[in-house]
Amino acid sequence: MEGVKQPDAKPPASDHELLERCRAGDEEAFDELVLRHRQRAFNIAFRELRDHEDAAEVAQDAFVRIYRSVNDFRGDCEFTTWLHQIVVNLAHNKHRWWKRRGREASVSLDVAVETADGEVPRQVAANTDAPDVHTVKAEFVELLGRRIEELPSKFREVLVLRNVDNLSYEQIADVLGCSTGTVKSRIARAREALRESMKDDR
Amino acid sequence: MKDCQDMRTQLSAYVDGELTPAQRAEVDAHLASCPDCQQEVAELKTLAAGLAALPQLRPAPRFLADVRRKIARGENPEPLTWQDHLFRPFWLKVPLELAAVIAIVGYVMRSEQPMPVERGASIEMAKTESSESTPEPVEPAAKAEPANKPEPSAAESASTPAASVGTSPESRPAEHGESLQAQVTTDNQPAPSDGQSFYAARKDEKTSVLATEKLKLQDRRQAVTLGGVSGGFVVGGTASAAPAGVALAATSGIEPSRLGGIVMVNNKKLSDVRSRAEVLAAKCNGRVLPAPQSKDATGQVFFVEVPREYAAAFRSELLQKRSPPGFTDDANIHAESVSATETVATATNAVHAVGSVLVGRPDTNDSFDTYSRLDLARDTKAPEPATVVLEIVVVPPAN
Repeated sequence: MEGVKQPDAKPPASDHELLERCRAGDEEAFDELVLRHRQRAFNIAFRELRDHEDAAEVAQDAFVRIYRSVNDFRGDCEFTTWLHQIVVNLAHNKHRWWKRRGREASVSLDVAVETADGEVPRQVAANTDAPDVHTVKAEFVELLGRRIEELPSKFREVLVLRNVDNLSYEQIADVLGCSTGTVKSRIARAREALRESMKDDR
Repeated sequence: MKDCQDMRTQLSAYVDGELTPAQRAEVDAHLASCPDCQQEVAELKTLAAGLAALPQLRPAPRFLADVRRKIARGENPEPLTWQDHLFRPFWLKVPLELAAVIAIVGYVMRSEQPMPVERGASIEMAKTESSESTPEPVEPAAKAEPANKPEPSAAESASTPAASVGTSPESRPAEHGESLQAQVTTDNQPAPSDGQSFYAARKDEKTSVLATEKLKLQDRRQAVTLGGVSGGFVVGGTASAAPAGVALAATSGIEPSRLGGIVMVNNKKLSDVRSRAEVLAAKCNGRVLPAPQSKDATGQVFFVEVPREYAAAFRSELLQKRSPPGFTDDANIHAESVSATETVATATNAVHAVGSVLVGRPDTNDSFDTYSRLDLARDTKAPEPATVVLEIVVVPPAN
C-alpha cells in the first residue's frame, strides 16, 4: 500500500495494464486501481448523492463491481470512463431511492466533513487540466461551489464530469448514455445557468 | 456569419476544445470581431477554472479495506433489479411484506393447528387437514366421472398445485387408508338471488363446481389475514335470504352467531357419526348438543359445541379418523363448510364478520338439489365466544 502512487503522480502502469494484471488474477493490481481512482469515484458519487456515507458506499460498490466484471471490460474506452459509468449508474439508483424517500440532502461543499472515521478534511483538487490556467480567487471558488450545488442535478452532473473530472464530451456521452451533441448543448446551458446565478448576488 | 446568440453553444465547446477545426476557425473568426463574445469566452474559462479548483473530497482511509471486505462477502452491486423494486424502500415495503407473510402463515397455522400444545388433549392435531382432506378428493372425483364432461375447471383443479396451499410437511399419508373424501365448497361471490335454482342448474356439474369452489377457497385462504374468526370456519360473503342452517339452529335454541360452520359427513347412519362426534367432543371439552334431529329435506343434522380453538381439529378428526366403528370404508364426505373470512382483525381485535356459508346439502341420496346459505353476523364489538357450534350434516353416501 505504501508504495502506491497518488492519482496525480506518474503511474507506474497504465490503467489498462493494471486491468490486464487483474484479469490474470493479480490482486495487488486491483488494489492499485482502487487506490488510484478511489478519490475520483468518491467525488463523482458525492456530487451525485451529496451524502458522504452514501457516496463512500457507492464508490466502494463501483469497485466491487469492477472486480466482478473485470473480464467483461472490452477496453474500448478509458478505464476512468468505465468507472464513471458504474459510479454514476449506481449513484443514480441510490439517488432515485433517496428521492423516493423524500430526503433532501444539502451538504455544502465547504462544510467540514464528519464521518464515522472522524473529520475528513477537504482537499483542493490538484486538477491542472483546465483549459487555460486561470488563477481564481478563493472566494470565487467558494461561491461557485455553493452555486453549483443549486443547479439542477442534470446540469451539475455534466459540469462536474467536464471540469472537475476532466472527461471529454465523448467520455461524458459514454458515461451518461447520450449523444455528444446532447452533452455539448447541456454543458453550454449548464454554464449559462451557472453564470447567471453567479451574477445574481455576487 | 452567425450572430452571438448562435455562438453561445459553440463558445462553450470552444473553451472545452471540443470543436472540429472548421468550427474552431469559424469561432475564431467571430471572436476577432466581437468583444462581447471575447468577454464571454473569458468568463467561461474562469468558470471552468473555478470548477476545476473546487474542493475535492478525500475518501476515508479504510476505503480499500471496505472494498476488499465487500468482495470477500461476495457482494455484487447491480443496478436496480427486481429485488430493488420488490424491497425498496426497505422501511416501507419490507414491513408490509413481512406483515403479509406473517398474516398468511398465521392464518394457515391457525386454521390447521388450532389446538394449543399445553392443552394437550389426546385428540389428534389436525395439522394436515388441508393436505389430506382438501387436495385428495379432487382426483377420485375426477376419476369418478371421467366420461361425463371434460370440465375445464375440474381438469384444472386436478392438476393445480394450488391445492397444496397450507399443507403441513408432517403429513400422515398412509395412516388413513380409507377413501374418505371431503369436498369443500364456498362462495365468495355475491349470491344470486335465487341461489337454489342457480345451483340446481349445476346439478350435473357437481364435481367441477366443488373443485372450482375449492380453488376459490384456496384463494381466499391466501387473501385472508390474521385474526380470521373461529379458526377458519366462517365464510365471508354477502348476506342472502333463507338461511336454512340458521333457522334450524334457531329452532334448536342455538344462537345463529355461534354457528361456526357446517361439516358434511357422508355416512349411512347418523348415529355412527353422532357417537363418533361425541367421542371427539369429549376429548376437547366439547359436547354434542341435544338438538332435535332433522330428517327432512336438509338431511340428518345435529350440532356440536366445541371450544373455538378445537373447531378445526374436531372437523378434521370427524372427517378423517378411520377408527370409529361407524365409519365404513366407503364413507364419503362430500362437503364440508368452510373457512375464510372477509374481514381482517383490527387493532382492537374486533372482528367483523358477516359471513355466509354455502354448502352442498343433498336432500336425496345422490344429488345436490338444494343448497342452503347460512348467514352469520357478528357484533363487531362483542368478544368472540369461546366456543363455536358446528352443524354436522350426515349425508348418506351416493350409490
